[in-house]
Amino acid sequence: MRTCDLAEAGNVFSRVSHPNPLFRRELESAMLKIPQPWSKKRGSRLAARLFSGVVGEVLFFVVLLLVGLFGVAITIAMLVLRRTSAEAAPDIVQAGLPTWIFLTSSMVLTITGIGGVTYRIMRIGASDERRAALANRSRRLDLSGPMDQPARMLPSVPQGSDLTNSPGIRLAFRLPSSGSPIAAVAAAAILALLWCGTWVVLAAVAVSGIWWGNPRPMLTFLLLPLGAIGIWSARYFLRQLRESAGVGATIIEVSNNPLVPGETCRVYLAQYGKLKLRRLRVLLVCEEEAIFRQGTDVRIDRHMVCESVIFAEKSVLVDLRAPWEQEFDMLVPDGAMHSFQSPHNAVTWKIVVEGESRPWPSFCRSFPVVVHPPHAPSTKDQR
Amino acid sequence: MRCCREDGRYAAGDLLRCTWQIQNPSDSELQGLELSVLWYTEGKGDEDLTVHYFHRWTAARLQELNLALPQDFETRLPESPLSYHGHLFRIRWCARMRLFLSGTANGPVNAGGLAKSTALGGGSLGASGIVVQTPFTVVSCLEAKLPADPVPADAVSADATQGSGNSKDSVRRLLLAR
Repeated sequence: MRTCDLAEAGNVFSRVSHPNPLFRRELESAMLKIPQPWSKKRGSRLAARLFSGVVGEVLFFVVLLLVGLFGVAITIAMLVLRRTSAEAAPDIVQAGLPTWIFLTSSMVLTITGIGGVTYRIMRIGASDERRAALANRSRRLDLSGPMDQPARMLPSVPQGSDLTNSPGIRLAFRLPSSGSPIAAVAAAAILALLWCGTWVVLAAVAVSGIWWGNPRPMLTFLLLPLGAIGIWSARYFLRQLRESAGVGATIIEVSNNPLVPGETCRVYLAQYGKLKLRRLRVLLVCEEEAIFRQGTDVRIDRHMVCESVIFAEKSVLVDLRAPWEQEFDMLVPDGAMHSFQSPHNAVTWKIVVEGESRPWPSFCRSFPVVVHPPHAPSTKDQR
Repeated sequence: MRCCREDGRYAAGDLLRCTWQIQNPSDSELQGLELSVLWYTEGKGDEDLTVHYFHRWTAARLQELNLALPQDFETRLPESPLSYHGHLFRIRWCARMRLFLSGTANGPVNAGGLAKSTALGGGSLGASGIVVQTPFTVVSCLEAKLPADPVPADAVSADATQGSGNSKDSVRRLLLAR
C-alpha cells in the first residue's frame, strides 16, 4: 500500500493525491467523518458513525452506574461506621438529611445506569422488525378494555375523539379550532403588564431620588428605552385584543365525521363579531408533515398536498346583533390520502377559514378533521 | 420470496400469501430466520416502521423444516395505512425475510447474489444477515377494482437499493417496469 501525505490529513478540505481512485475516495470519506466539536453540524443527519454513538451511550451509562454504585457503597459504609461509633459513644450525631440526599442521588444514578445499559444492550443483536414486533405486542396489551377497539381497526389513522365529543346546533358535530386566540392575548397581556409594572416602579425610584435631592442619572436615562419597549408591548397587547374581540368567534359544524374521500359532507359556518370583510374563503387543506433531525436540531417540514376552495364570498358584512351564517356542501377529493399519523410523519386534513377585513386585521382559523380510507369498516358516529 | 399476486396490488383487508424458499440451504450456517410483513416510511422525515406480521425461527426450529421446498405464510392486511407516494415522504409495504448466518460478520457471503446486511450498514445494529424484500402496494377497496397502474420505476428501484439489501424479486419487478 502506498502512503499518503499525512500532513494533509488534518485539513478536511484537502484533496488526497493517490493514483487509486477507490483508495482516495475511502480516505477522503474517512477524513470527512472527523467530527469538529466547535462547528455546527449541517446537512448530514449523523456526523459520527452509528456504532460510535452506541458505544458512547453505553460508556456513559456504565460511568453513571459506577458512580452511583460508588456513592451507594460509600454512604452505606459511612452509615454502618457511624452506627458502630454511636454504639460506642451515644452522643455522636445520627445520619442527617445530606446523607440521605446523597444516598438517594446515588441510587437514582445506579438505576439510570442499569436501565440505560440494559436498554442499549437489548437493542444490539435484534433486527428492526423484531424490535418493532415487540413494541407492537406491548402496545396491544389490553389495558383499557373494549374502548380501544374502533381505533385498532384503522392503525396509524388518528382517532380524532376530540372532534366528535362536541355536538353542533345546526349539524352533528362542532369542530374545535386548532389555535386559540386567548393564549396569544394572555401572553401579550402578561408581557405588557410585567414590563409596564416594572417601568412604573423604576420611574417611582427615579422620581423619588430627584424629589429627595439624590438623583440617579443612569436610571433616569434608562427609563427612556425601557419606556419605548413598554409602549410597544402595550400596543401589541391592544392589537391582539382588538383582533380577538373585534373579529369574533368562528364556528364550523359538519354533518359527517370522520370524512371519506369521494363523499360529500354538509358544512355550517358562523362568523361572529362586527366587521366588514372584503373576502371570506373556506378551504379544505391536506398537508404532509415530516419531522427530521438535522445535526443537533429537530426540524419540522410541511408541504401542502392539496387545497380546494369549498366556499368563497366577497363583501361580507357581519353584524353584532346576529352571526353571519352560511351552509354549503364540501366534497372530499376522490382518491385522496387518508389522515395518517406516525411518530415522524403525518398527513393532516383541516378546514381553513380565511377572512380579509378592514380596519381589523385579516384572520385565518384552522379546524382539523379526520379523513378515513374509503370503505373502511364503519366507525362513523352518525347522529 | 414471492407474493401471491403478480401485480403486487392488494386492497386493504385482503389476504396476503407469500411463498419463500432457500436454494442450497446449509443447515450449519443458518442461525435464524425472520419473516415479517411491514410498512415503513422513507423521505425527508425520519423513518417510521411498523410490523404487521412477524415470525421468527431459531436454528433448532429451522432444522425441522425442509428449506429446499417452498414454504408459505399468510396474513390479512390491515385497513390502513394505504401505500402513499407523497412529496415529503412515502409509505411502502413489503414482505421481508431476514436470514441470519453464522460467520457473516467476518467475511463475504455467497448467497446467490443477495445482499448481506451488515451490522452497521443495514440500520439493524448487531443483526447481520441476508435481507430479501418483496414490495407490494396496499390500495383502497375502490382503487383495487380499477386496472393497475404501471409500477413507478423510481419506487421499485428505491426498494431494490434499500440499505437493508435488495432481492431477486425487486430486480425482476424493476425489469418488468422497464
